[in-house]
Amino acid sequence: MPKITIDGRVLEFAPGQTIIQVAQANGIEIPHYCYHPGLSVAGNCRICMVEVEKTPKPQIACYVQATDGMVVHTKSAQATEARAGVMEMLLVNHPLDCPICDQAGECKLQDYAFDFGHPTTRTPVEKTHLPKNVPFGAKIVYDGERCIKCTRCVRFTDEITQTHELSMGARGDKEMVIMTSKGEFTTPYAMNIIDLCPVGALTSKDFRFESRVWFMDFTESVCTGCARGCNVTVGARGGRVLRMTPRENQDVNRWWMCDAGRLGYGHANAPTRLTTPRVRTSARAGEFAEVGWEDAIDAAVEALRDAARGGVLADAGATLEELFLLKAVAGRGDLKYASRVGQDEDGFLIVNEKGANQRGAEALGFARAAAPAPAALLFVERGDAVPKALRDGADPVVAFVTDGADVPPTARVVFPLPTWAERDGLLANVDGIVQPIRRCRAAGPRDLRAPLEVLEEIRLGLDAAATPWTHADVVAAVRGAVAPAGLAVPEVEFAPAAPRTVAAPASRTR
Amino acid sequence: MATGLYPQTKVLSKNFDVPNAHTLAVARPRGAYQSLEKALRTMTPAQVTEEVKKSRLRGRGGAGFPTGMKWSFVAKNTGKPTYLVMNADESEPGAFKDRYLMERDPHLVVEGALVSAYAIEASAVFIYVRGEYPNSIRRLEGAIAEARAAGLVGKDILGTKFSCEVWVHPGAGAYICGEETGLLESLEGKRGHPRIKPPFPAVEGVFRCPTIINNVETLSHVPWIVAHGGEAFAKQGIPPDPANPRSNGSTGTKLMGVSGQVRNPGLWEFEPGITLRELVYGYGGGPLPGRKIKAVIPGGISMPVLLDSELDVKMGFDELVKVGSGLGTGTAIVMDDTCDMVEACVNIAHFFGHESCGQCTPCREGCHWMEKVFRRVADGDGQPGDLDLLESLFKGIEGRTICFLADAAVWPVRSIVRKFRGEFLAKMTPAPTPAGA
Amino acid sequence: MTPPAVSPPPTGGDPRPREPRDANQPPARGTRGGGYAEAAGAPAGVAPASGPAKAATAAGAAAAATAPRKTPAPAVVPPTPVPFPPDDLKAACEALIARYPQRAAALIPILHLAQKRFDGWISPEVEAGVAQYLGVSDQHVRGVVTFYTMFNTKPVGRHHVQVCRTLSCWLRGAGELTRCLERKTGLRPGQTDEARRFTVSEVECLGLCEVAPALFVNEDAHVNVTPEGLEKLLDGLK
Ligand SMILES: Cc1cc2nc3c(=O)[nH]c(=O)nc-3n(C[C@H](O)[C@H](O)[C@H](O)COP(=O)(O)O)c2cc1C
Ligand code: SF4
Ligand code: SF4
Ligand code: SF4
Ligand code: FES
Ligand code: FES
Repeated sequence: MPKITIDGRVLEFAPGQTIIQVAQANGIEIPHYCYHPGLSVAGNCRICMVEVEKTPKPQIACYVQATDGMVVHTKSAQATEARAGVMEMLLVNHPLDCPICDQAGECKLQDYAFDFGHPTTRTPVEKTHLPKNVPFGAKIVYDGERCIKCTRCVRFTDEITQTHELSMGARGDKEMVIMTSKGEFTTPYAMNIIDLCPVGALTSKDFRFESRVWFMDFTESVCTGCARGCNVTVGARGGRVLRMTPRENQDVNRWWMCDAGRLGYGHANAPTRLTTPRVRTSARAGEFAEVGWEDAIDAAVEALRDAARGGVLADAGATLEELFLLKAVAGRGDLKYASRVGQDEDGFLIVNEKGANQRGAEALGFARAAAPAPAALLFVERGDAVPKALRDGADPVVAFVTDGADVPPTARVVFPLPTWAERDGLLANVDGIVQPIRRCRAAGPRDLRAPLEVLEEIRLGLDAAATPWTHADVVAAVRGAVAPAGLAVPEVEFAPAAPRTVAAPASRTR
Repeated sequence: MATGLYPQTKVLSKNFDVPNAHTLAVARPRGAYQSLEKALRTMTPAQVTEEVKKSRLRGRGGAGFPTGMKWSFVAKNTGKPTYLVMNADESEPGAFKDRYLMERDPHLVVEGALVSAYAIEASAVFIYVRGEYPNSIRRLEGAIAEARAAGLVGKDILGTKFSCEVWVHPGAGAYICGEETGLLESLEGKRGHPRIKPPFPAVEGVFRCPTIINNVETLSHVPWIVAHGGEAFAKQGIPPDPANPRSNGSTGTKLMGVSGQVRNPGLWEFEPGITLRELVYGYGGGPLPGRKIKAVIPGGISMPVLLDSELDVKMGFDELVKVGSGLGTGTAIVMDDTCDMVEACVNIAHFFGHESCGQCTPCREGCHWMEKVFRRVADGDGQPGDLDLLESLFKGIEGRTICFLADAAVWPVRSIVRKFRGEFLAKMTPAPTPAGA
Repeated sequence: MTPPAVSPPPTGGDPRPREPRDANQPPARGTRGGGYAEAAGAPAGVAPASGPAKAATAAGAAAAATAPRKTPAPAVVPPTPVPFPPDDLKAACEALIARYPQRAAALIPILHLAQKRFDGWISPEVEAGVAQYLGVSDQHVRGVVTFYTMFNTKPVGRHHVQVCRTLSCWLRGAGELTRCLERKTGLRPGQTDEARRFTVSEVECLGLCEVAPALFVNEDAHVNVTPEGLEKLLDGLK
C-alpha cells in the first residue's frame, strides 16, 4: 500500500483517496466547509488548505489526492496562516448574529473561528448586505448574509435528489443561493440542506428559535416514520421532542432522512397524550378512572386471567422485545400487526411500508391484520398505523396507547404508551437490519413506564412460577427467535431504566 | 508613424488597413486559406503540431504557455469528439488586440481555427466571443458563412476527408469567462465558475470531451507557421535563452498596444524585442502635453506596474518576468502624473471584485475588502494599520484560489502600494483630499 | 408515518421583504441585487415578476404532521412562463440548439435572442419560458441571467447608455462622462427614467481602450467621447 505522511504520521491509503479522506480515516481533523463526503467536491471554501511539501502554494485537502511519499502538514505555519486568512475573509462580511442564530453552538464557522481565527482584530469595513429571511418553501428559511456560499445545498438538490430546486445566483460578493420560482421543493428530502449547511444560513421553520442547542438533550435513535429506519439524533427539552436530524449510517440512510420522518414527531408532543393508566369503572363503555401504575398492572393481570380470549394486535412500530413480551403475555390466540402502507416509495429512502418493525413482527410470527378480529392485547403508538376498524374489532382487554383519542372504550385497562422517542428497543428495518431506538431523557410526559416493564410485571402476575427476565434476557430470547428469519440482533447496551430527567446538559452530537 | 523607430512586422496585421479585407473576395486573393489547403493536402495533423512545436509559439492569452506542447496533451482515442475552443473573450482591461483580428481579418481567424482543429483532430470549433463585441461577432459569422459557402467550413473541407464545424458562441458580460474553464462552463450554458484542475481541459473539457483552448491571436499565427515552417517563426523575435533549457523565448510576432494617458494610443505588430519605452514613447507618442509618465502596466490590467525608470525592458515573456511584471496581453496601460494612484487602486480593485465569480472565499470576500480599504484611504479616512492590512490581504488572496483571477487582482495593486507608498501615506495624514478623476 | 396536515393559512409571513436594490444605489451592472423582491420594484406598467404573495395556502402535502407553530411563509405565486420560443424565433433557436451536443448549452445565445425580442430584459416569465424550452430549471436560468452583466433583470430604457469605468477609460475621463450623464438625464448608474427613454449603467472594459473613453448606446459603440460630444449624442436620442 502507498504511504503518505500527515503531521509526522506515516499512513497507508488507497489510491484515489484525497488528503482529507486519509486524514479523517486516521482521526486527523482537517477543517472543511464545502467538502461533504456525500457530495461532489467543490473546492471553493478553501478552509481545508494544508501545506504539501514540494508545492509552493497551500493545497486544498478535500481535492488533492494522496500520492505515495507525499508529506503533508496540517498545523505548520503555512497551513495555519492560510486557514486563518480564509477565516478572516469569511468573517469580514458575516453578520454578528450569533446571539440570535439557531446554529449557534453547532456552527462550524463559530467553531473554527475559535480554533483558527486571526489573532488580530482589524478595523472593520462596512459589511455587504444580502437578502435575509428568504423563505425556501414552507419549511426552510435562507439568510444570504450568513451564507458562506459553499454550495453544499445546491449540490444536494443537484446530485442527491436531482430535483434541482436551488442554484447560485448573482456573482462575486453578491452571490447567493436562489430557489426555484415555483416556491416549493418537489423533493421530500429538502430539509437535509439544513443539516448540510455548515453555518446558520438555512434554518428550519419548524425549529427556528425553539431552543439553543446547548439546552437540548440529544439521543441517538432511529426514525420510525417508515420501515427504512433512518438513523437520527433526537433533540428534546422539557418533555418535548424539538427536532430530529439524520445520523450517518452507510447501510441504511447514508447521511440523509426524509422531511416527513424528520417532522414526524408531532404525536410525541401532542397535548392529548395519555399520561396516566386507566381502569374501566363500569360496564358502560368509555367510563374510566385514572389509577396508579401498580393498580393498573394488578387490574390487567386480573382482567387477562378472566378473559376468555388471547391474541395481540400491535402497531408494527412496536419493538422486537415488546412484541416478544406481548406474545408471551397473550399466551394464545392470533398474533397480528398493523401498519400503514403508503404509495410513496422512491427507491431512495422512503419505502411504502410504514411499520418501523414490520420485518421484526413477521419474524416473530405476527401476521398482518387483514380484517377486524378480537385480541386480548392492543398496542398502538400511532393511531393511523392501526385503523379504527381494526381497533374496534379487536375489542381488547388491555390496551397500550399513546394518545387519549385512541383509547378503546371497551378495554378493561389502558396503559399510556411512551412514543418511540421515549422507549428503548430494537427494530428490524426493511432490509432486515436490526437497530436500536433509545429513550430520550428529556422527551415525553414524566413518569411513564416502559411497556416492556409493564408487560413483564403482567407476565409475572399471570404466572407465579415464571422466572423474571431482564431486558437483556428478552433481547437474548428475541435473538434466538428471529434468527431463523434471517435477522441478526446486534449486541446493544441500553441505559439502565430511570425516570425521565429534565433538560440535562446538552451533549454535542454533531 | 515616425521613422527610426523599432520596425513593425505586419504578419497578423497585414490586412488591417486593407479595405473590405473581412470579405472572402478580398481576403482570399491575399492568401487566405492557402495554409489550410497546404495542411489538408500535404501534411498530417501530427506534422502540423510538430511545426507549431518547432515555432515555439507561446499562448497570447496571457499565460504564455507553449501552444504545441498544449496540443500534445489532448487525450486521444477517448471515443469522444475533440473540440477546439478559441478564446475571444478578451475582457482583460486594456486589451483590444483580438478585436482587431476578428473585425479586420476574420478569415485569418477562421483559417487559424481550422488549421489548428485539423492538427488536434477536432470535429468542431467554438469561438467564444465576448458579448460586448457585436461587430466581431457579425464579422466572424459573416466570414464563416462565406467560408462555408466556399466549402472551407463544414463537411469534407476542400474536398478532403476533414470535416469541421465552426460556431461563434457569444458571451454575455463576464471577465471570468476568459479564464479557460470558466469559459467552458459558460459554453455549456452555465454560470462561468472556473473548474478545479486537474483534470485539464485537454483531457476533460467542454461537454466532458477533450478540448484545447487557445487565444485568438495564438491561433491566428498558425496559418503563417504552416506556410513558412515553424523554424522560420522561431527565428523571429527573441530566441530562447540558451542557458535555460526550458526557455521558449518570445518568437514570431506579437500584437502590442498602448492605451491610457499617452498621445497616440493604438495597436501595432512587432517581433518581440521592442522595449516598453519604445512602445510607449515611440509608438504611443509619449505623455500627453505637459505631463510625465508615472507608471505603466505592460499587458492588460493584471500585471504589476513598472515605473518610468523601468521601461527599458524588452517586451518579451521572460524579460518582463525578470523585472517583476509580465507580458500579459501585450497591451500596455499608461498612467501619468495626474493619476492618483490610490484612486487607480480603487478602480482596479473594483474591477476584480465585480468580476470575481464568487466561488472562492479569498477572492469573493478579499477583492471587495481591498476595494473598501483603498476607498477609505482615497477618501482620507485611512487607518494607521491599513497598509499592513492590505499586505496581509494580498497574502491571503494570492495563490489561495481555484483560478488566477485572484492573483491577477493582487499583482497590480500590490505593486502600486509598494511603489507608491508615499502617495498612500500622504492620504493617511488627516488632510481632506478631493476625490480623484 | 404521519398523515399530512394542512398548514394554517399564512398570516403575514416573514415581515422583512428586502428593499429592491435599484433605488439610488450604484448597483453592480445588471446584476440582480435583491433577487427575490425585485418584482416589487418594477416600474408601473410592467407586469410584476412574481407579484406580492397572495394568501394562498401552501400545498397541504408540503406540511408535515406537526402543524408548524410558526407563521408559514407567504406562498409564492410562480410566474407564468411565456410561450417560448415565439414563432419568429423558432427557427433561430432550433438552429442554435443543433450546434451543441447538449441542449442546455444554447442557453446564453438564446437568452440574447429573448432579451432582444421581449422588451430588452429577461423577466421571470421569460426565464421560466426559456427554462421550460431548454429543459433546465428556472432558477438555473436565473442563476445564469444574474451572473452575466449583459442580461437585464429589470426593464431598461430605449437607450441603454453603458459607460466604461475601467482603468483606460477612467484615465481618459470616464468619470466626467458619468457626471455629464447624470447632469443631462438625472440618472445615476443603474437607473432608468420613468418614460423609459434612458437607462444609465457603468460597465467594465468594453475592449475599446485605445479609443477611450468609450461607451455603448445599446449595441452601438461611441469612442473618444467628450462631455460635449455626449451631450449632443444624448440630445439626438429620442
Ligand atoms: C481571470 C482570467 C481571465 C482571462 N481572460 C482571457 C481572455 O479574455 N482571453 C484569453 O485569450 N485568455 C484569457 N485568459 C487566459 C486563459 O485562461 C487561457 O490561458 C488562454 O485562453 C489560453 O490560450 P493561449 O495558450 O493561447 O494563451 C484569462 C485567464 C484568467 C485567469
Ligand atoms: S446556504 Fe449553507 S449550504 Fe447553502 S451555500 Fe450557503 S452556507 Fe452553503
Ligand atoms: S425514510 Fe422513513 S425512516 Fe427515513 S426519515 Fe423518512 S420516514 Fe423516517
Ligand atoms: S479565484 Fe475568484 S474568479 Fe477564480 S474561481 Fe475563485 S472566486 Fe472565481
Ligand atoms: S473543504 Fe476543501 S475547499 Fe472547502
Ligand atoms: S477600459 Fe474602457 S474600454 Fe477598456
